[in-house]
Amino acid sequence: MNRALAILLLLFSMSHGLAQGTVNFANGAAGVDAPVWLDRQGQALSGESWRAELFLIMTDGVKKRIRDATPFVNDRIPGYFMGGLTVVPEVAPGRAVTLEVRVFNLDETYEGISNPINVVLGGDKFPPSNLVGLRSWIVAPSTPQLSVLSTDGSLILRWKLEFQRAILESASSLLQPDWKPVLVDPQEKSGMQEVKLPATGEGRYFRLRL
Amino acid sequence: MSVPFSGGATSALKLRLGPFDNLYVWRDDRFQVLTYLPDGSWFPSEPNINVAEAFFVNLNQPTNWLVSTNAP
Repeated sequence: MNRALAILLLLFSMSHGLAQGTVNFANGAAGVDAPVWLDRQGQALSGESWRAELFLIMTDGVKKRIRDATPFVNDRIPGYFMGGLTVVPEVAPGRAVTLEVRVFNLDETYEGISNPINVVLGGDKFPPSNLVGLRSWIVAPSTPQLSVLSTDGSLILRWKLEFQRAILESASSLLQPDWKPVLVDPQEKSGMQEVKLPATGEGRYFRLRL
Repeated sequence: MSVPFSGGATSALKLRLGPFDNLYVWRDDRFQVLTYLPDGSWFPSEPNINVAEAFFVNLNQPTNWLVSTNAP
């Protein structure tokens, strides 16, 4: 009898331990009305190229993507995305978390980050929480950051993975620059695009062309 | 005499909702969330409420929902 009870308790605690928090990933919901705008032109985002993704901000400040790119609704309701029920992995229902939404277009030339949103997660026997506290925000032209690291006789150039179509170019001077593509295919490494070059010859300038 | 009936939350049951109101219904062992959109459509689709099935709503504004039914 006691053994059966113990097994039941174990199963109960396991099922609760496995329960994961949920949110309603949408910028239009009860208590949420936060359309996304293009630049400051007073124009809500419309068209099929816009996407939204959801990030969990961890306690150490690191952002973890928990929902992949979600398209916007349609041109009849510009400015809004509806991702619906979204599981927040490894966080229990009822826990408070901080979330953030990134909106971008498919060729990554525009992006905008929302304000941080503090929500108590739904899930288990509760409905998913809405992103209450989310405010309207704008997307603006995005610019990739190019970092350079010199190590072991090599030059490592890195930029964010999102800018996959960016072309790395180099020039020998900035006075009359002769920008030419760097003929080395970028490799994907730790969420970044990376190009490794031998650190030989004369100094060169690098840029990313979108 | 009234008889039970089922159907779409707004199209058949005539539930009166406003833009971005949410409806929750227990399906597949969890609460599904559905959103009523400003153009009168639903995301992801209009919920079909079955006879004796429960649901609840989360509204931006209070609403009145009055339904009269008659036996066919």
